[in-house]
Amino acid sequence: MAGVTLKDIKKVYPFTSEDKKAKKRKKKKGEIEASEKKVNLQITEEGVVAVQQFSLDIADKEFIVLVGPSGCGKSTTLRMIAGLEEITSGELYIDGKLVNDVAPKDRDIAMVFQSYALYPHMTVYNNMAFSLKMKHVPKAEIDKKVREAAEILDITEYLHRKPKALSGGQRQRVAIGRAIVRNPKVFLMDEPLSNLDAKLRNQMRAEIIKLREKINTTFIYVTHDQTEAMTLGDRIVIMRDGFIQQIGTPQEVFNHPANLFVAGFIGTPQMNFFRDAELKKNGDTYSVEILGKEFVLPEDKQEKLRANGVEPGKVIAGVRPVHLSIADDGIAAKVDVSEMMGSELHLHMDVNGSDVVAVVPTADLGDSMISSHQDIGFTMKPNLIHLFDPETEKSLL
Amino acid sequence: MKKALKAPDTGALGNRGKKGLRYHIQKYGAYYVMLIPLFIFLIIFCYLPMGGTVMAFQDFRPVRGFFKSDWVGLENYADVFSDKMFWSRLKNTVIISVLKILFTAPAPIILALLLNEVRNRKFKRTVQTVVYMPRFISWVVVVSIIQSLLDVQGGPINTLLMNLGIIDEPILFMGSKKLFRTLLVATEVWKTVGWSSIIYLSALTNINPTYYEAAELDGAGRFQKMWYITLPLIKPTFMILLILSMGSILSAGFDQIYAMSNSAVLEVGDIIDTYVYRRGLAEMNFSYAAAVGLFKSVVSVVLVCGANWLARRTENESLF
Ligand SMILES: Nc1ncnc2c1ncn2[C@@H]1O[C@H](COP(=O)(O)OP(=O)(O)OP(=O)(O)O)[C@@H](O)[C@H]1O
Ligand SMILES: [Mg+2]
Repeated sequence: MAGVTLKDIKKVYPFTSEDKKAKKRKKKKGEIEASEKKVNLQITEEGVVAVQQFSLDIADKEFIVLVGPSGCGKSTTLRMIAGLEEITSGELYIDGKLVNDVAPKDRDIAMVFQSYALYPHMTVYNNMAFSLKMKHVPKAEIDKKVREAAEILDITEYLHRKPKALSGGQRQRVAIGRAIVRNPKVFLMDEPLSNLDAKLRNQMRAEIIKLREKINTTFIYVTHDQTEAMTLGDRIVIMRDGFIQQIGTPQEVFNHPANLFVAGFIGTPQMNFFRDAELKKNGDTYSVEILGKEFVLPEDKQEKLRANGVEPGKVIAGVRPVHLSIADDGIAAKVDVSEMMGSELHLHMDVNGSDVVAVVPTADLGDSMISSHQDIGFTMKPNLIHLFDPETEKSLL
Repeated sequence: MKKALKAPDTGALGNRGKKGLRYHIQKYGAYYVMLIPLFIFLIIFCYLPMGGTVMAFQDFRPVRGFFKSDWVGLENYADVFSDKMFWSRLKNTVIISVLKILFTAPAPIILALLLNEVRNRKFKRTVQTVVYMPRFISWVVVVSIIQSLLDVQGGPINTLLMNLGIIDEPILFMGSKKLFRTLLVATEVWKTVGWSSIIYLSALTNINPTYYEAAELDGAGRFQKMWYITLPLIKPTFMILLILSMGSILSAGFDQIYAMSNSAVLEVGDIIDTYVYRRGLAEMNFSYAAAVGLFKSVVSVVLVCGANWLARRTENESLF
């Protein structure tokens, strides 16, 4: 059992003396601070708020992925779990024990750093053996564990090289190897694949999935890449500006994004948003008008809207590009760019001055290709429409 | 065959070279201009005087000058190497140098490591400034301070030791053969440690902090981090400084010793430079001095290259 529980965790980085000096300079110049606050929600009186109201229950052996744009507080959260960063307020439990004030080495966790942080003066073997050596594990046992881990990661032949003489992918494996020899309760990874090229990244992603089956333990994985998040995570935590936006399985966050941000962040190409859609209510039936076309919503959505007591009016409608289809009698659009991707066609369309992207399987088109600057029509299935409140940006469904 | 193949090639290269050169000068010209003063300095003070080494092979008479003095071949060297005093001074020099390196090499590392652990910035800066200071004080001044501190008649050190009951009668520090080398090394460390630690401090700040974070997660404590991470990572800096210090092994610090020594300690404290200075200038034996000087230079070059070679062979770390 090694679950991790975070209770209302908050992290505030106090202003450094440089920050303070910059502030003073600005004050002298007469710049108003209020406008500064608007620009960055995370800067408050006390300092830079990197993470707040972070509560999450991670089950034993669960694979959790923290995902979000740059600067949203993913690394900070991970480093607080590791103990490298002090927790400003809130409680952190590992395996049921409060560890806020426990030193990193006593938390029984291992971490893979984005830059790998392999000790440059030690061989691969010594890099992997270091933590065991610090624990005074007998030499024979260290040797056994290091070789086992090297076997799993397929790096046995590099054991006597120094990190400098390894490729990015090999270094990555060593970094993982250094973590697994310790057999930690929790495995932390901060953007471990971001330094690799696209091909190697795909390959390593598959290896991490395999690795997980082999060393069944709790994983907390940070990435800004949503494909990684979707493919690796049992559950995904989507963050923005230090706040959790949504927690859910990959299907949940894809099919039922909690708000506009999540909807836009998960899925490529990005979801299309129709900002001047209108929700109408005809007796008991809701329908939504998008670009002049009216779509009657399916029964499950009707029920949810009714249960939430949603009033008709302006809404933001969202539809994923893959959920748009070509229809001659649909909404009229002009193709700006038609990108042939092989099995599918990406159409960047201009609809009354706003951009809409559609992804159409080429198999459906037969021989009739759609080329740039062509006039076409498109439509969508009402059950795949997402609706968001234009004020709160929260999902209405 | 080779020539025929090469000929058109060189032409093409020459053309490209010309273009490249013009471009190069345009781009970096300003830097070359800035280098000129340094070059002039080097030529005037380092390269031109080298011509003087011809004295080592002449029976040099100032009135006759370089061109009219008699050539004597290696006679001056025969003089030097048959001089018993020279060998005893050479021994002194090497002993003092090795002692100095033994203590001045690790001292700045320790100081830098200690300073690196200081969290309070103001305190750190103050300490740094205070320990750099001695470097800018001339040896003559340092020695007179030391002399009054260690004075036999009412010097503070002697008074203190007497009052503490550690000694019964004042020690003649400056005239003690036993203590002279210790004093040399101690004052040298005091004077240079702060300055030398600058290089290590900058080497320390260049260490990627994630190594320490990784080590912390790996379970390393403060001293283990120092031993397993910090020291190995500043070893290249240490090796370079050590290799460079080989170059001055036959020098041992003329200023300091000239100012500090006296007839009582000549036997343990006289080094090649002070000896040659006395023989060369006092007895006007310029050729002898030049011969020793050249000998020192050759030995230094050999030592630096040797140390460099050894470092490369054993530690894979070298200066060139
Ligand atoms: N040491 C620090 N001092 C002050 N502010 C910091 C510090 N470290 C991070 N921050 C701030 O905290 C916020 C979150 O940073 P964090 O490194 O957690 O982002 P991230 O989500 O990991 O981003 P990325 O994807 O770019 O790595 C940022 O606004 C950042 O500027
Ligand atoms: Mg980060």
